[in-house]
Amino acid sequence: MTDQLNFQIRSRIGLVVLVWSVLIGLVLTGCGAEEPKVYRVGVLSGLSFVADITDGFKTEMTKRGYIEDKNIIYDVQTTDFDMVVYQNIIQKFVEDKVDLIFVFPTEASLEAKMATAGTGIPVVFDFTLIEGIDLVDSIREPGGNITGVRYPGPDIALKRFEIMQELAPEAVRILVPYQRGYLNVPPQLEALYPVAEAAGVTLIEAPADNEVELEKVLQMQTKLDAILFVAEPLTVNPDAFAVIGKYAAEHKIPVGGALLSVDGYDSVFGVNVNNISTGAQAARLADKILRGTAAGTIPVVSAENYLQINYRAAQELGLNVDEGLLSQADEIIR
Amino acid sequence: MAETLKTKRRLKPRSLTATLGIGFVALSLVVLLLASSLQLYAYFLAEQAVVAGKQRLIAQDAANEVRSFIQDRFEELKAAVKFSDLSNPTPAVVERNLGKLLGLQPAFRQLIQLDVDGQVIARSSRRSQTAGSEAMDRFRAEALARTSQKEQYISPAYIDEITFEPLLVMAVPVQDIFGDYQGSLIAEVNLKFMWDLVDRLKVGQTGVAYVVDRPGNLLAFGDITRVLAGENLSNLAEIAEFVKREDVFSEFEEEGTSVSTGINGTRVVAAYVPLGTPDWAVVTELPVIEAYTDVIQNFAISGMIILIIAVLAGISGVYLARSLAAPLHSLTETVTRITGGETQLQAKVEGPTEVAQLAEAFNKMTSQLQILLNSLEEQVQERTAELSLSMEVGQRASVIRNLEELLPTITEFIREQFDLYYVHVYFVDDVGENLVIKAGTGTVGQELLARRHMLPVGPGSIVGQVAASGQSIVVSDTEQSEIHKPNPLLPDTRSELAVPLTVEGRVIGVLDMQSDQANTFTEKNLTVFEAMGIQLAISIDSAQQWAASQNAQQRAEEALKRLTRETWSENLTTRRENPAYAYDLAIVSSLPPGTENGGVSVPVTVQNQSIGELSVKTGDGRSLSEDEQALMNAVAQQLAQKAETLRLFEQTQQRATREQIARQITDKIRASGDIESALKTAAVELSKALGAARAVVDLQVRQPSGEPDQSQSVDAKAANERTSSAQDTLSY
Repeated sequence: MTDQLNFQIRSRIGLVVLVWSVLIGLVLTGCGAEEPKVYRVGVLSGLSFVADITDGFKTEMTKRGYIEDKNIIYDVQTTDFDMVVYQNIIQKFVEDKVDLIFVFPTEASLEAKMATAGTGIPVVFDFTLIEGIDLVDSIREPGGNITGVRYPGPDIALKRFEIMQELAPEAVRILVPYQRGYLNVPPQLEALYPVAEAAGVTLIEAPADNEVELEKVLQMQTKLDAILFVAEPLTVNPDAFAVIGKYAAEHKIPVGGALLSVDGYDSVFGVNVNNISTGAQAARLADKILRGTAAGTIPVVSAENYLQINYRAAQELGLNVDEGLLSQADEIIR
Repeated sequence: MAETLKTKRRLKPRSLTATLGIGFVALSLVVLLLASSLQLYAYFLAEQAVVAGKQRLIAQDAANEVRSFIQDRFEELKAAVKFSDLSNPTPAVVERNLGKLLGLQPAFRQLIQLDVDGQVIARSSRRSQTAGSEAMDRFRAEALARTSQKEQYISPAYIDEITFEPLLVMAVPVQDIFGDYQGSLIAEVNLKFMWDLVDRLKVGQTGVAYVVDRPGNLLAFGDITRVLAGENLSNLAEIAEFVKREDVFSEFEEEGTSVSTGINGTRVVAAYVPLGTPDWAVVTELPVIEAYTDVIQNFAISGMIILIIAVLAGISGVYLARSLAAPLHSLTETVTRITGGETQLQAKVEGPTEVAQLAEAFNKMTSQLQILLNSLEEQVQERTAELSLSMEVGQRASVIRNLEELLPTITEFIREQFDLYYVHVYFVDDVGENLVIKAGTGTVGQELLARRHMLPVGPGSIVGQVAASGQSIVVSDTEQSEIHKPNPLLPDTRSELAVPLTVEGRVIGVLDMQSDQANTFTEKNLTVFEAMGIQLAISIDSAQQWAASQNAQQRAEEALKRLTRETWSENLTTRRENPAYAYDLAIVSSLPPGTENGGVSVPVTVQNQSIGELSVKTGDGRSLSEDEQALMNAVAQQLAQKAETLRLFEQTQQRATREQIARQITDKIRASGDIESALKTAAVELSKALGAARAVVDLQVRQPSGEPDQSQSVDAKAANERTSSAQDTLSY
């Protein structure tokens, strides 16, 4: 009787042990499963003119599986060109030990590179002119902890000049306003001067620190045929553009380079990059970095030119816009 | 130590359930694994071919996509040429057309139209006119040469120096309506627009496709950074094969597939298809796990089936084992209970035939064991009873000290207690030659005692043999015995046992018992009777010793009594007055010898020897009460003791006086200078001491009288020899 009882007890104990083993195995498997990491990305949107780059970045990140507030948290800091603010924001990102910094434009990218040196925090830049500044070692191997999307600055400046010439072939005195001391301006001007000279065009530089100073500079100008923007932050500032637009409207001269419309003042065309697309390009690089590739080994990618034509503004100024040019436009405002 | 533990573990018996369960699982696993392995291997081979075919198809599709990308660009260029106004190819018109074409296809980065002489009619660029035409110009002559032959041209891929994006130059001839060559339309194509196409190529769920040129440089891949990095993939097996091959592309050629390390470093099933024009290859890679998903699933399903069957087999084995084990457990339980004392229990005959047979055999065995056990119990009871009787015999014998009483009593007691036919005891005589009967039961015993029946020690009788050897003899059945000799006086004897009566290793006699039942005495109960014989022998010896001591004591008492009588006689004789006194309530007067005392007398005894009497005569003639007589006895006893004490004191004084006189005489004798004076002194002093009238000292040697003992004769002879040399007599 005792043996039979022991036999039954042993059988039941065996069954219980089996069930518990399975349960413990399942629990341990569950415990062993890694919880998805939540990435924190600091975004410094340093130029409101191209702030939608962040949208393109986020959209592409979402496509790649980074769902905001689920497995990725964005700390988006938006500002306009202000070096002190840039530094403060970047410093905050460093202190927060974010997993990645996405930054634009050029000056902010430079600040990000300097502030994150030695921290291991990778930086992805966008809307950044890399020529003439010490941001990357090379396009193929940027080095350090940085990579990003290159803004084709000098070529865009030339393209803007060519289109301005095509729209206003009579323009021989062209004002080039820009943010005083902005790093990327000299390379662009260097590219422009030979072409302008060959075309018999006089480029009149108008460096200013703000719209007030810009207005004064404009008031001092006489007999301007056109105003051409190079890639810099001052002219794309709405207040500054309003000053320029007002001046251009008063003098009935075309304004081109970056497409803006402020207070009823419009530029005629813009050659730039597609903010959404370039943001998406940057997102692909960020994805690769978050998956473990060192940022410095990822080649810098180049943004494509994006041509916008304000056909209506051109017609109001009596400019002839060729079909060929219109055909190349990525965006036409009628 | 560990090895020992291991061995112990190995040797640990496993339960039937576990054994059968494991056996079923193992057997089913072996069979299923063998069958499944063969089936899966065959399936794997078939699936491998299928995977290879699929992979080739995927690679072909991918190649067609890439080929289409290039072909479409050619078609766009050709269409542009076809729909151009060639009648008046002014630069403005051409530039407009080129601009439209740029707007139509973003992959075109630059377009140049040349006239029949190779001069630039117009140029249109997505970039600035001043930038980036050097590379394109590098292939212009080559393109012109080809297009002038009315052939289309495509250059090798090259890398943009600023963006590091791959580019190539394509050119088509410009022909008029008659087909005459009018110039060339050259386009610089940015292959980054092929990246998205390649990235979109679907290769399974997780596979990838990419494009390499002949040197193995990566031209298009989902991870564009690797393209921009100018990665060369000729280290990969598939790419190396493409790089090395020199044969011309055959559109319908079937390329092989292989499992190798892919572009992402994982094991993949890779296939490539050369495009021919351009001289690229499209490579598709599918991770092995995905490529062989069906095989893996099949493996998994087979594994699950095997597992399920193994579990079922295990359960079946356990169920079967338990059904087999249940009757065994029942049997085990029965055994346990029987072991616990329930000896009447029977196992249930149930279960499989073998187990039922086992239960039956077990029941038979337990029955036989029960019988044996009962028999043993009976024997034990018999032995116990016999031992008890034996002890009783010993006890009875030990309390009887008189041998004359002991032997008949015990022999009869043994006969009665053991329900025997006849019992008798023989003693070995003083010379050890014969056995003399000392006791016997019944009339036969009386007759033999009367006859003083004797048997010689040694062969000739069972009793004689036992006395000679000191070993018991059992005759369980007299009819079967050769040594048993029938006694006419005991005709019904069927079983006989004779045990020696041994004391300190010496046989003093034999106890012989006879039964009228065969097998009353056996080797099994021999020990009991031998023990009884030992006890009886001890009792006999004890009785003999007791009798001897009694005799000795009696003799001692008689001697003491005689000595007391003689001493007192002598003492009384030497006294001047008659030691008898009377008190008549007035005076104490001495009585003359022979006076009758009358009245009540009590003896005055010393050492049980009466030395006188104490008499009391009452005046009224009444007799004395018991208390008075007791008083008289006590007084007589006290008187006797005192008298004896005083006598001894006197005797001691006399001895002391004699010894003193003897010492004085001795001292004087010692003072003598020769024998004569010593003799004289002895005679004089002895006469004085004794108050004798005459004392004689006469030295002469006489023949000593006594038993004619040899040794005494020798001593006498020696004495004679010693005195023969001296004078014969010397007297005073």
